[in-house]
Amino acid sequence: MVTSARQDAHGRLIKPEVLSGLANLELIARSVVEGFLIGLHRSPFFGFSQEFAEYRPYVEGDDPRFVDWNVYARTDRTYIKRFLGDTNSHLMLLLDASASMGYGSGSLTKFRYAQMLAGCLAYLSSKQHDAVGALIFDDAVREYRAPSTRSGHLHSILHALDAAQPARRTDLGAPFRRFREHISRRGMVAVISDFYCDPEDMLQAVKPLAFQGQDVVLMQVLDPAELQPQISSSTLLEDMETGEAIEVSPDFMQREYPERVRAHIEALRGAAARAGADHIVMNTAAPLDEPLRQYLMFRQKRR
Amino acid sequence: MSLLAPFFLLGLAAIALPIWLHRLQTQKPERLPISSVMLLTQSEKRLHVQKKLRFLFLLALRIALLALLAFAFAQPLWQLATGGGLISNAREHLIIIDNSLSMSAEGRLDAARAEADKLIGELGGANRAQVVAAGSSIELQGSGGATGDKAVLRRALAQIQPGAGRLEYATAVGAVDSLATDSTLPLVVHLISDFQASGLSPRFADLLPHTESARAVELQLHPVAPTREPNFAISAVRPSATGIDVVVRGNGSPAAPVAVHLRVNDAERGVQRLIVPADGEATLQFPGIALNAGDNRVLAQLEVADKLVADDTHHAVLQGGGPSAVPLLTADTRGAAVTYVGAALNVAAARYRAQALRIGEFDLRTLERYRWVLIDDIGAVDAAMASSLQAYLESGGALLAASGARAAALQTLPLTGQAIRSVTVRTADPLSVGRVDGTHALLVNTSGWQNLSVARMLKIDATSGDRVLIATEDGAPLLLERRIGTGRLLLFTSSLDNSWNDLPVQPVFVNFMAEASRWLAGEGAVGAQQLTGAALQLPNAGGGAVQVVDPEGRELLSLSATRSASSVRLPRSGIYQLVTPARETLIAVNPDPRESDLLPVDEATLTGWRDAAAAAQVVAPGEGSAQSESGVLPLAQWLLLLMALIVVAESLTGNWLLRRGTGVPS
Repeated sequence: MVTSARQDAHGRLIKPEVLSGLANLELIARSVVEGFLIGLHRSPFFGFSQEFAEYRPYVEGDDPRFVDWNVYARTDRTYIKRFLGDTNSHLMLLLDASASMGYGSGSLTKFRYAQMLAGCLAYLSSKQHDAVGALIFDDAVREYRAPSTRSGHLHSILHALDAAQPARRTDLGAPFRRFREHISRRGMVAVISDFYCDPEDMLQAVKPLAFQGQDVVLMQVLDPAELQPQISSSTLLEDMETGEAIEVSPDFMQREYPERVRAHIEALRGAAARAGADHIVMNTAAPLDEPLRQYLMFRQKRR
Repeated sequence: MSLLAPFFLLGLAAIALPIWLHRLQTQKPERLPISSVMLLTQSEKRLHVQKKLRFLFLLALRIALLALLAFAFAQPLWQLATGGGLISNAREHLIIIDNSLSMSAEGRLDAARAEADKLIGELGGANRAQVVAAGSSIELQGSGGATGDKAVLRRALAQIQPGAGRLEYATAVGAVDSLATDSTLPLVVHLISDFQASGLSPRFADLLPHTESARAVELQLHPVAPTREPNFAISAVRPSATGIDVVVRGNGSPAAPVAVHLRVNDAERGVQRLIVPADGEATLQFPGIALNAGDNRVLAQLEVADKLVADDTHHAVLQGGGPSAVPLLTADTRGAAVTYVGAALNVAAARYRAQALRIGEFDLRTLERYRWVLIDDIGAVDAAMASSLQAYLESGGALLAASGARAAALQTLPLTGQAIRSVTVRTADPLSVGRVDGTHALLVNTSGWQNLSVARMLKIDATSGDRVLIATEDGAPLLLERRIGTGRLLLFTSSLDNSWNDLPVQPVFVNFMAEASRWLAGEGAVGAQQLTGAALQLPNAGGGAVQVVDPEGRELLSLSATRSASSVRLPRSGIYQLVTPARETLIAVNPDPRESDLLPVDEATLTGWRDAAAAAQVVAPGEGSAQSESGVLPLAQWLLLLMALIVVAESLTGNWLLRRGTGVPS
């Protein structure tokens, strides 16, 4: 049923604009992830899912929830059931909620796309029994949920993501410093932003996380109109964060501006590489399966 | 370079339009949000600046186009010498000096002469000038025309004497065209005056000089009396029930005591003193003065300290002896016509009294004693009387003849000889008046003829020498005028009682009798009061000689002019005599009372006048010959050529910007 909901008559994935029409972020995440996982079973990536791997004796410190009580009933011994995808890691989602994320050339904004992506990642990780946390920021930390695997925590995170609204300016420095103060365990950190900042500033903000042992992936969300703008006449473009306006010609926007965007992406990618982080560019016109797939590849690489 | 229509420079304000439109254009681009402008930096700003620079060029073209258009409408002229080079600012100056009565106030004419002398002193180069005295008449001083010789001009200036007339500034300015020479040099009119407020025309348009030829005219005003000075004058001398009253008026004056000396027929008749209220009027009474029968010469002299003494003397001609008798020749001295006419004259004209006389008993030899005569039924005139009346009329007498039952019984009217075609009887359906000649002096002040009903009248045809003054609705003459010799005949084809019409009981009857008595007595032709400097219209003496004798006893008309002149100017105050073959009339001539008010035009009005004159320095267009002669080169066609080039450049630039896709220029 879920699969059929995510596919049209030709078997293609439903566009993010359609998904964004669903009011509940949890429903969106479940729809995307369940469909994604079913698709994954048919793919060469089988094994990333929750596949049984082995039993091992329960030792002090293990989570009692993972004790296989059926085996205990039969053998009177406690065993822990382990799965292939179970690494007991945790994922921290850092969502940029600055005003620039509110841009969208169509009905879907970058922020809504990022909300859905973060929701899906949280849901997927929760399915993997990873501890999931979230930090929503602009030029300061606006919302923070510490990583946890407790029941109901996923719902709390999805609610926090859903309630966030884009506003104010972007500043990676202060929120990331605050984040480092709260995080102690190693894990994965997914930063979802449009990264309209100086690559060097980004490097300075991310590098300490890498030094701290975090596996960082930078998910850069861009609108198709940012990658290839289409204007037919001289236009005054107004910065959504600063209000600064610059008049541009169609000639400039169609020839020179895409080159500048590509150069900026390459600069970000280079800076990310220097910080030991991965960099993924996401087009809001693309289905969410692709970033999820890239995330799993990133997660597998980390293992 | 000068501008013929500088007001069109106001059109320069139109350049605000392209500036405004270009400002709209710079604000016009669609405004769209973008995540960040960090990637839209220096290069795009430079591009924007370049586009603005291109727009500025387009804006400059458009502003130049509008400015040239306004400038072309302002008709700039470039003055060239006859040889082709630039010349001098050579001008012809017309120096008009006000020598009206008010300028004879102490110091005013001297100040005007000094101002004119200064202007003459400033003449230089090819400048030329003429001196003009403007009072009741406009007279060129000197005979050499415009000249640059300062000595000649100063001699002409010295000839100007105080006048006693009145100057209307519109008259002086309007005479510029006839005063200027035929030169095509730009004309500068200098008006030197005390600029009395009473001399101003209500319309500035009348105060602007112009010429028929194609030459620029500039008006410069030189006031010599900026403040109002108090002045007293005698405004009227009139008979009263007890004697003679003299009215003294103060113009802008404080309350002050005055004394008036009165002379009647050259005999001193006393002095009266009174305090004239501030800026007001006072009447001094000279009781107990009995006037002689006929005209009396009266002279009132004011004794007061003011700067204008020329208006302190007032002449008057007062008639004494009571009302004059006018014979009303009738068959029935107790008839209704006698009653109605007698009552009307008593009410309307104090100077005449109807004396009913039986027509058969009237001594025809006494006709010459009377200024005019009444006959209530012309049919009662027999041949002998017709002959006497003919002679009376030819020698300047006047007759008002009505019709009656006796005339209705005749075939031909006595005296006029006109055939009586019929007697119209419209008792049940009376005739009304169809046409009234309102231009005739007799009828100009009467009204209400349309209410008249005529039940019976003689139907006659007007001859070529007749003037129909009133006609009935069927076109028949009701009142007609005929000149016989130097005399006047009024023929009323209906009756003067209420048996044939209701005229005697209509309100217009009294007024008609009053006007008829004045017109028949010749009062309408020559007024007993005239203004100094005015032209006296001479009565038509029917070929007889007319002479005017001035206060000094000199005859103003030459022998030949006594028969041909139609008017004569009265240059000074005093008592004049008008002598015609029929009678001798005395005329009192006094200064125009408006000259006695020395209130000057306020500065704001003078400024408005100057501004209007500056704006109206218009040369009549299309004067090609004058243009070449004076070396005035109109620049308008060159400006139009330049505008055409700019239009092409503007179109190309705008099209280029469009093709570049950098926005549609407005």
